[in-house]
Parts: sequence; C-alpha cells; structure tokens
Amino acid sequence: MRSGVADTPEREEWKQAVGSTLTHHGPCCDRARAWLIAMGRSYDFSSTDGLALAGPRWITQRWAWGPIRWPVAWCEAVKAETIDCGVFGAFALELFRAKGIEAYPGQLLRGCAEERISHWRRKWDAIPTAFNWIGTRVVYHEVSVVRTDADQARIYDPTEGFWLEPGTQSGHHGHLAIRAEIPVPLKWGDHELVNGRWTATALATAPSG
Amino acid sequence: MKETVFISGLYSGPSPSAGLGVARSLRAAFPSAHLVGVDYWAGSSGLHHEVFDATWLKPPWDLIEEDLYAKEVRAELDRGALWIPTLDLEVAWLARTLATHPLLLAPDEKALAPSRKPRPSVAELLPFEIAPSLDLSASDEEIYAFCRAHSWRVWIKGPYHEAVAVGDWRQLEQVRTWMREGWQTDRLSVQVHVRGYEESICLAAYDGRLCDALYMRKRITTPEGKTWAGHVGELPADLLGSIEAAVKAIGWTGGAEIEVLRDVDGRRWWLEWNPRFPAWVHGATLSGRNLPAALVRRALGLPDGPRAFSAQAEFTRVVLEVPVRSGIPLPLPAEPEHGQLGVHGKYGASLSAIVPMLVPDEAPSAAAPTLSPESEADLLATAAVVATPHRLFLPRTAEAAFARMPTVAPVEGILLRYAYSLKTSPDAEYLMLARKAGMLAECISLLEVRRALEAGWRADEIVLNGPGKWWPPTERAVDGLRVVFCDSVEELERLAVSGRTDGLWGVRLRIPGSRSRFGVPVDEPGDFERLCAAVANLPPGRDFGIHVHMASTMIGVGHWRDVAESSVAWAGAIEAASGRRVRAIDLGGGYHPDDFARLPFREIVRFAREKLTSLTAVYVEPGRALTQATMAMVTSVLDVRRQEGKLQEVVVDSCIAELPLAAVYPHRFFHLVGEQPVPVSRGPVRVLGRICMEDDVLSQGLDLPDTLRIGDRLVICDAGAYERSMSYAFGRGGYS
Repeated sequence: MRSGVADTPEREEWKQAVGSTLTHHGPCCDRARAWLIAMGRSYDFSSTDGLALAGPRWITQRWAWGPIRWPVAWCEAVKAETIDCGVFGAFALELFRAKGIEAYPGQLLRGCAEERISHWRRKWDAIPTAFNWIGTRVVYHEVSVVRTDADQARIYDPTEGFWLEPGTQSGHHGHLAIRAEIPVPLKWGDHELVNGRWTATALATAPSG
Repeated sequence: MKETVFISGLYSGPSPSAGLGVARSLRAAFPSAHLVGVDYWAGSSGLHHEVFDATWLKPPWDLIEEDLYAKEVRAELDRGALWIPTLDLEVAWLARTLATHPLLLAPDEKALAPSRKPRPSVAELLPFEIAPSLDLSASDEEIYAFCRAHSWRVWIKGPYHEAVAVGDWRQLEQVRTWMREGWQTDRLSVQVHVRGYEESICLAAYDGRLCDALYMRKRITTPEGKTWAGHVGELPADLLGSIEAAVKAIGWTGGAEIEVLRDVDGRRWWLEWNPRFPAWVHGATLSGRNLPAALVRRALGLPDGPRAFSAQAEFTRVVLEVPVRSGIPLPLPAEPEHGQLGVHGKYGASLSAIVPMLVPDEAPSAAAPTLSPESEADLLATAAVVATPHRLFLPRTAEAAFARMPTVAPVEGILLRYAYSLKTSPDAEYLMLARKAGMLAECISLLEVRRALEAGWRADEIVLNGPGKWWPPTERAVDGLRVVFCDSVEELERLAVSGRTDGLWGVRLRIPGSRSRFGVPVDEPGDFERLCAAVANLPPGRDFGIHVHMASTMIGVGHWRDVAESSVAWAGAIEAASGRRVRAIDLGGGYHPDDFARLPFREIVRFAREKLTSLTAVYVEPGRALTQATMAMVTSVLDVRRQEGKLQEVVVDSCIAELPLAAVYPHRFFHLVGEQPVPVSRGPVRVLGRICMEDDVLSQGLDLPDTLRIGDRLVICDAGAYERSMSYAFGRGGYS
C-alpha cells in the first residue's frame, strides 16, 4: 500500500516532520494550558450527550485557521486569533488526553486543488517563520490519531472539526498518506499505521510534485 | 418494458418528495415505460419535468373526493398499471383504502402498522439503539420531567413526519398547540435528540422479500435538514441480515427509508422508518444502484438488474430550471400580505387533510395530575377558603419536602451543606422549617441578611451571593458571614481590601457555553488571567471558593451535571494558576422538587474531592425544590365561554400577577367538586386570567367539564416558590 506520494513527500522537511509542539515559558503557559483544559470540560457535554469520543469541536469554532509565527508558546497560542493546523493539533491532543482518551500526533498528505494553492502561498508568505506546508498539488496537514481499541485508531481533524474516513475519494482534500506517532501499530480502516512511517491511504495517481 | 407506472409526490422544492427521483430512475432503467406523474398541487415543479409522459393533477386533499379517487386508482391498477406513491400520508391512505394489489408498490396496513411512530415495533427487529420517547398523551408533569431528564434536547414529532426542536416548556406548549392544529390529532410524541451523523438505509422490497438495499451517509444537508449531497455504499454486513428479516417479518412491499443517526462512539440510533423511497433515491441510481427499478422488476417478475456500484459513490443536487408543461400553468401568487416578500414554495397539497381519514375522531386522553398524600390532605382546606383568589399554604406538604431533603454522608470529610435560598420564599413558615432542618441561609441582599438574622441564623451561618448583595446601602453590612461569593473581579478586588472578616470569599463563574448574565466570564484567556491574579492577591489565610448556578429546572439534569463538573474543572484551573487552594464549591439552586432527591450530589462531591485536594465543603442552595409544591392557588370562575355549545374558554379571578410563571412550567389543576379536588387533565379549554394582558393565560388547555359554571372553583397547584415571591399587585386599583 505504499505509493510514490508516501515515499517521496514533496518536501524533505515533511518527511522528517513530527507533530507540532508548543513551547512552554513557565507559569504563563501553565495558566494557558489549565484554561484550555477547563474550556474543554465546559464544552464537552459528556453527561448531557453521553459520548466518550466526542471531538473538541469548539476549538474549530473559536480559532480561525491561518498562518502563525513558529515557535509558538502556549500562552501566545491561546490568545492568537489565527492558528495553523499544528496548533490545532497540539490543542486537540491536550484536550483528548485531559479526558483520558489516548491520542497521538499524526500528519497527513492531502490533495489540494492547484488553483487554491496560490492563495495559501500568498497568505503564508506574509509570515516568514510560519511552517511551509504547501506543495504544488499536495499539502501537509496535522491531525490527531485517537486509539479506540487495542489495535484500532480513528483520525480527528481538529482544524476542520471532523473525523476522517479511511476510505476516501481521490482529488481535492482527499488524503493520500498518513504518518502517526504511536506506541504500537494500529489499524485505521484497512490501513496499517506504524510509528513514524508514512502509509499511503489512496491509490490515486501520485502527484509528481 | 412498456408498462404504465403512476408515480405520485412531485413536489420538488427545498424539502422535495421522491416522485421525480423515482421517475428518473425508472426512465434510466426502462426507456420505453409510460411514466405518469401524479400530484395534488399545480405548483409542484416535478409535474413539469420531461421525464413524465403524462401527468395527473388531482385536487388537493382537502377537496378530493376520497371514494372517487380510490376507484380511479384501483381502475388503473386493474388495467395493469403500476403505482408507486412517495408521500407518507398518501401511502397510509392507500393502505387503508385499497386492498392489497400486486401492482400497488406500497405497504399494506399490516406492514405499515409496525413502522408507525412513535414506537414502531419493527425497530425492535433491527440492531439500532432507540432514542427514548414519550407520547404526548402523558401528563404535563411526566412530559416536563422527561424533558428535564434529557436536558431539554428534545424534539416534538408529528404523527407521520415533522419534528421541531424545543428548548423549554413555553416552546413545547407552542409547538404542541401548533402541531395539534396542523395535524388535527393529538398523536404527537417527544423524542430525545441524539447527537449523531445523519445516515439512511434505502430499501426496496416486494411481498416481504428484499429486492435491494444500500446505505447513504449525508454529506451536506439543507437548512431544513434535508439531504443535499451524500455518499452511497453497500449496507454494512452487520445490518443486511436483520433488514432482510425485518422486511420479511412485516411483509413489506415498496420503497422505504430507515433514517438513523450514528454517534461518534459508533452506535447507530433508530430515527424513523419512512414508508416510501427517499427523495435522494436517484443519487443512488447515479452510483449504480437503481432501487425503484429493482422493485418494478420484482413486481413484474423480470430478472434482477445490475447491482454494481460505479466508481463515483457520491452525489449532489443542483437547481435546474425547466419549462412549464403546457396545460398546467403555475398557480398565481396570492395578494401580498405583511409578511415575507415573494410567493412561498410551501407544498400546497393539503396533505394534513388525509389525517382525519386515517385517524378516527378521538377524545384527548391525557393522563391526569396526581397529588402526594400530604398535598391531598392539605387541599381539603380549600373548602374553607372564603374569598378568591387565595394562595393556600400546604403545611404537611412543606414539612414533608423539608424532611425529605437528601442526606449525603460526608465524602472523605467533605460535607454537603444545604443553604436555604431566602429569595425563593422568605415567609416565616419556610424559614422556621429551614432552621429546623439544620440548613444555612443563602441571601442575595442585605435586607435578606437582616431577615435571616431575625429568623435566628448567626452571621457565620449565612452565605451571601448575587450581583447586588450590598444593597441597600442604608442597611448594615454585617461582617463575619460564612461565605461571600463575588459576581465580578472588581467586587473581589474591593472585598480583598475591605478588611472584612468573613469565613470564605469566592467568585461566581460564568461557565463557558452556558448562557448567563451572572458571574465572572472565563472564556477569554485574558479574563481568566485577571481573575487568577485577583484570587492570588487575596489576603493570606482567607479561604477561597467557587460558585456556579445554572438551574437544573431550566437546563435539565444531564447538563446541570456537566456544569457542576465543569465548575470543578475551573476550580482546579484557578487553583493551579493562582496558587490559592479552593476550599468550597457552591452549586447554587433552581432544582425541580422531583429532581432534587435524584441529583447525583454524592458523585459530584466525590468528583470534586478527587480534583481539589483542599476542598472542605460543597454547598447546595435549594429553595424552589422545597417550596414550589407547598402552595396552591384557589381561584373562581368568572366567565364561561362556548363555541357551538362546547366549552371553549373560561376566565378565572387569578392571573399572571399572582402566578407570574404560569407559562414557564406546568401546573397541576384541580376542579373543586363539593369539597373534593378532582384532577383535571389537559384538554381543549383555555383558562384565561382576569387582567387585561394578552399573555395572561393560565393554561393553554384543560379537560374541564361542560357543566362548569360561573362561581365554580379551580385549584392551581405548584403555586409556591417564585410564584409566591415574584407575584405582584396588578389591576387591583392600588388595593393589595
């Protein structure tokens, strides 16, 4: 199930990228994390809805998606108006783990309509220290890998606030490959996730980059 | 195939019927078939689609000659035409009116009955969770309890289709009345909302044998919740067998759609069984699975068609213009009124007129209200009431309520302390009962503090709350209170330098996600930091606590628990960020009398103990829970109004000045017959108050006897608590 896309991510830095982490200044960042977790409990509605695996939908509604200067500290991230998928991913991991759900960082390679990419590039070029996630027809994206069983995983996209489906339509926004930072191999639908390895998820024609 | 197929239900507006989709699918499979589109409104745009070879535009259902139409349909079936209805009510009418016919591709009465709302027995044959529901023939108390138990995340559902979300009792009353009038039946239900993805199973079956079935996941829905785009796939393996068995068990013929919700934990919840193809059925045909054609093939004994999915499993809708068919001009717009501009696209087939054909006239049979033994004994005193309106104190009921307060044993040394909410009912009887029960006093003003002290509470037994607690300035700001909870950071900062010697200071939090005007907002990191800084600056040695208050009566029991646990999470965050230990949590009041004993206080104390290691006390502030049922209003009938001889409205001498929350929660009504209070169920007679205010309606409908006369007396229970303390003088000429 490996493809050219998975073996040759468009950029060398994607191949090596790990889940984004926010820096920690000290007490100000302790406060920020405590605030985030308490906010998560307020929006969780776990007794009302009786759901164990509800994702932190509220972060998608609260923060706009866009470029942010890296490195980012917790105290800066929570106050930012706009955050990128790396910050969304870091927030989601913190929130899943705070309620006892086993969650890990994950990265996706995703198809993207070329006519969109010029706009993303312009937006990100304005922030020189922002992470360069934009290829030509493929983009890099961060997600949360949620372990639901001994060998099963589900993938939550905190930027968009939805659970990804392992089977996918090829083309714009479809996922092409996934990499998970997990302690044991997990299955996501028919896909085998192995720690640190890119796994192709679509058999679509691999963009040449 | 050259047969004629009649397909009804051609409305193609924002909430379309399935007729056009069925016709397009049949045309794709049978290019030579003679397709006749049937509808009951000239504005149904599907009539004008080129897919139809001919059309039948029948009168709307409030004008249709039922017998004649039945004969016409039967004649076509007998001539060899097939008939596929796609309107729920029309399907039910056909099942009721026509005997089974091999070419009527719709369920018969026997098959339809197990799929009917609100509790379709076919659901039990399928591996779905079933959302709790309740017939609206239950008593108002039962309905109200159901809604509170499910945190007011509920839908009122019509007898065949239609569902409206309601968030409080007032809305429920409005929607119930509106739906009852629209559907002309009381067969309504309330169902719990399930938070899940909307998915559907579409099936076609003939004589109890499944022809084909598939699974659709909605990708985009319209604002009305209708499918706009979806993903079609095979039925999950774990469902196929049970769908086949269910179809066989009920002997289904025709198309059907089983609507389900899949929650994020993976459970599938039954929503409903629609007795016809879904409007998106042609989307599945485009993906390679033509269920209308599969049904027709089976009915005609033709071999099954292809079943393979195409590569494209997703479909979406577009809006297209088509020329109007000659001979069926569009209906002219009605003269504009003061409402929205433009002609509304609402379906004009008057389908609800079918309901009385299906449901015989039925007298409303709502359950009657009940009384506790104490209240039953107390209400005997109503016979001695001379002048009305008169609010009667029910002493046995009150004593029982205070005596029944749940006792919660200390959890690892943490006490659950009850503080009586003076604002709810400051009358001497209640203060005495509260003192006797060992309660603290909870006050929201200095006048209430004075009242508590006069009633015998010491200063260190008083909890002071509220946004204006230091009012009035002329009153002595008694020092040494047990607890003072501030409503703003500014107030906390002033308290910090006040030199007061109260036992504990704290803040009320405005919990994010819960609408409230009270307390300190914490949903911005900056606000949270400012609060933590103020807490850190409190004088050393001063105990600190957190207060929340979201009435479970209003937000429901499950959501109340979320708020309570959320307050503990915020207390932990403040503790960590300020370095100040949280010694007390106050969970406020607003509990319904029936919920109070059932709330999980012990679990919450335990939860708080786990998260807050320095916690010493948890406070709860009941008022309504103890006093709401302890007063009753005795009122006399002033006027009796009839329509066509039937009792329609009565005017009584009490009003919303005495019962300001009459519309906010249900009250139990009794009719005094002799000296006996006879319970009154919900029914058709409105009870109007005496004053000249449009909203002075004490009941939207009661089953009062036709013999009711001026001077008769009614007793309105649940008239204590805020009904008493918030009542006001109005329309009394200045005399109280």
